[in-house]
Amino acid sequence: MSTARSWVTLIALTAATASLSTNSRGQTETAAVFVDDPRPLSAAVLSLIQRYPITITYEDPRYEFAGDIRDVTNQVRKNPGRRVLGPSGGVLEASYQVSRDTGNPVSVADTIQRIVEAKNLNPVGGRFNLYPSRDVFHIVPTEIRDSNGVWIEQQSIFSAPITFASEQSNGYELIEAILKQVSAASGQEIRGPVATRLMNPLVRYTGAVEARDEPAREVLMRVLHSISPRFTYWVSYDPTERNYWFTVVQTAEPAPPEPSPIATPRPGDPTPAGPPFRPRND
Amino acid sequence: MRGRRSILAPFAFLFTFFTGTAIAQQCSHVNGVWHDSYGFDWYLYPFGSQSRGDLIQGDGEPFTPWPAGGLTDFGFATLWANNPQPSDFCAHWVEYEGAISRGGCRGISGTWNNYFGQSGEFSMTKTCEVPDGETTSLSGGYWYLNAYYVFPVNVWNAGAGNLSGRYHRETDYQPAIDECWFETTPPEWRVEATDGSVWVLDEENYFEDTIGMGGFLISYYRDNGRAPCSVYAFQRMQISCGDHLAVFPWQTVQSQVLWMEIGTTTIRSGRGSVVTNPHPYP
Repeated sequence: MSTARSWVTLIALTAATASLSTNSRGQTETAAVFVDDPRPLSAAVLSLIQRYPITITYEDPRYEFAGDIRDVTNQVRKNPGRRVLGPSGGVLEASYQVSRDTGNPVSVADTIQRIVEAKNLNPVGGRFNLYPSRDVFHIVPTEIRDSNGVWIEQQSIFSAPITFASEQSNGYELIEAILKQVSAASGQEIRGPVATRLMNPLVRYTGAVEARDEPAREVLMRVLHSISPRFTYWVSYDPTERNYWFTVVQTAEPAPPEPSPIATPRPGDPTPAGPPFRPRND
Repeated sequence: MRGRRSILAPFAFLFTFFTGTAIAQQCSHVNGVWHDSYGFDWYLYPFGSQSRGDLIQGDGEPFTPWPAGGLTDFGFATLWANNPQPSDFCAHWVEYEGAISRGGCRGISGTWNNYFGQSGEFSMTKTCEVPDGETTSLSGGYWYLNAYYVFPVNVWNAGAGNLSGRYHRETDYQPAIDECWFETTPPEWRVEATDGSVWVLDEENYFEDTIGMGGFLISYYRDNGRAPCSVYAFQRMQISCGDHLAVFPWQTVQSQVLWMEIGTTTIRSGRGSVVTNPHPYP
């Protein structure tokens, strides 16, 4: 990796450079995504959910090949200690169509697919697939290079079916319990949930969950959407410790509805009953 | 966790809502000056668990004030007024019954009926009641999971009693500062803002604010040589002044800095000027 590489992730969802076009679906403009990041696909779709009210989950591959990993110890550590490894990453560029009426992507599925395909053009950091499931778009790893540089298939650890029944618990405890099941089913260590500023809604929620031989991602999304329809999850792989981290993230707030007039009488309006204090003439 | 933490309630009609087993808090009173859709003003003041006052015509013909009263019960409001000079030409009494909208607790829509057996529809709104501020305490707080401090917060409403049913939210007055995050850290861990969550105040005008990085991130940043480091979020607390279909507009109650510090052996959390002592972690 070039040391001159920008440390800054740049997301350009452009209005300034947007090209206006009109097609059969109405007026649209082109938005562009440009990312230079150790996890370019993760950063690109994270910017998407922070901008639009769409639910995407993201999962890192397990980085094993030296070309997919870089040592950032000298840039990161404030004090001596173990080496710090991170993904090598790279650049991702894509564009998609946004409706001028709604301000949202014309096709969410097409937008995400374009970004995934743009990532897959660069072999560094593995290859991914998009799996839509009802109103959720799951981005999962499919191929990664092993320690010898040979491409191997890699399945999402959240495809593993789990059977599970919980007690009434808060949201944090429910997710923690599900992650233990996924760890056991997949054989991979998963740390989390990481929530930081989302702890308030997690601990304010109380509920229970039950699953029978159901893919873990479906169970997790059911719990997260019970806590908030804006919640989704992100899974990152730490090449230093060789483990996964599960994080609860929040999508953009949908635009507020247009205020509608109250369908009740106003002063001076003719009403069947008239003002409440006068007898009717009929 | 404390029982009174579970105070989320559904926005039945809104862009953001929560589900689960949280108990809905209802609007607790009808005190205030209400203007109805017929141009009448209801001046209602606290009177035990109910309200008492006068019904006064806003404009038009001379009108002798009618003694009036009101109460709420599980989200429904009943207002009544008695004519001090009853006649064949003016109702002896009138009663308004309707749902009081949660959020701002300042909108009622429903049906009126009167002495003559007549009925009709009405809507009414009142000026928004904005509390004077908040009091954050260390006393009564506790460390949750040994890594997050749960700050007790009382909304200070010297004016008119409890704020049950009022929607409360946190937003940001400037972007957060995350000194712990570094380039190869997963992008979703970078604290850029508060969570923006919305909840419903209870009859004690009380809520809890959970502040901290969590055990996983504390260990991660320490292991990667980042400690000591801090995260600052700039929280603006707001209360809903919505009337019927919307929770907006929001009015600011108080703004403050939220602070989370990861030391090499201890952690600290702060909300405004209230800061915990260094807490050993793990």
